[in-house]
Amino acid sequence: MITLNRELPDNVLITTVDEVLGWGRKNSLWWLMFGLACCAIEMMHTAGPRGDLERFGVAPRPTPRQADLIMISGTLTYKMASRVKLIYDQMAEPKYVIAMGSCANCGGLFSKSYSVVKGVDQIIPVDMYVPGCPPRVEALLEGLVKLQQKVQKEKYLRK
Amino acid sequence: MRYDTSLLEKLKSEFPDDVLNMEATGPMPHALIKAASLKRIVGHIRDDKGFNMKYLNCITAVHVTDEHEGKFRSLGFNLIYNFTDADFSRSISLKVYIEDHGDGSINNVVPSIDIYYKSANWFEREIYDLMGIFFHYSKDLSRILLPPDWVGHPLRKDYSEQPSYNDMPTGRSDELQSLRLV
Repeated sequence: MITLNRELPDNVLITTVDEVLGWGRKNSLWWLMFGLACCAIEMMHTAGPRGDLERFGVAPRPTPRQADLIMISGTLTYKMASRVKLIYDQMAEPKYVIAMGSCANCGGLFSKSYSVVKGVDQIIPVDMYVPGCPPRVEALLEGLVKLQQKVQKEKYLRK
Repeated sequence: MRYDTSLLEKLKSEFPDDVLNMEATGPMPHALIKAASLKRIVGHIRDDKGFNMKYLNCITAVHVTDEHEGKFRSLGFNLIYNFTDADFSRSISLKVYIEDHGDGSINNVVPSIDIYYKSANWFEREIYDLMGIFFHYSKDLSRILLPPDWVGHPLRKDYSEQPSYNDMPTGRSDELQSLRLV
């Protein structure tokens, strides 16, 4: 039986199984419905009928305990930062973060403000940065597709 | 919502000692009053049928400073109260000036008017949060917009940022600094 001790050799059988596992994992990233500001409206549009998110397998989950993917959409303030960290800690491994919009990437328009965290990567690790103010629906989908490619390449069984 | 100068004159005639000055020209005619008589005047304009100011529009604060070579010296604060009457036809504006001499001379000078208008509580909390003016006899004056352990009052002209808050740095290094022309 295949055990997950991650020391399996790199032969064609293990790599194929790894690819199948990667394919399965990338096509079922469940996203957490988490929106902070105006980018959340674009995120809602991405989940809407025209830019359909569910065709990629990303089903919306309201609770972080059941989600794999969190899309930080909107401006993060210092008051909200501890709550976002709490929500991120409640997600189970393996988890992925997309920083959507310029406020989540680097503080954006409010990067000189006193109450804005200059980029969400100061509190949680980010896998994908999607620029834009707000990013177009197609841009967010491109970010999601690139994240899926990143997930596919992960070596799950091998070291 | 017209700012009616006849209301200001009526206020001056009813409170001749407390109304210090009357600005009847400009886009917002207001009456400058003493801080100690604020509660009496506000109670009167709320209950008196001639004024009938049942709606508090807003309370704001302006930091009056003296600038010298880029450094601001704090002189005082102007508190501006805007009221509108019950059928939204006339408005009145009151102004209170408090001097800033240094540590704490602006606190507990202006009374809170939240016994007359419940919405004044949030306006006063915002002014305390962002300007630092502590209102006297307020029922609950705590920070409303910023986190409760924030240090400093940001909208003052002489505010300088803390370097970090709860281990989060408040600045971000600008990687494109060498490319910028300005």
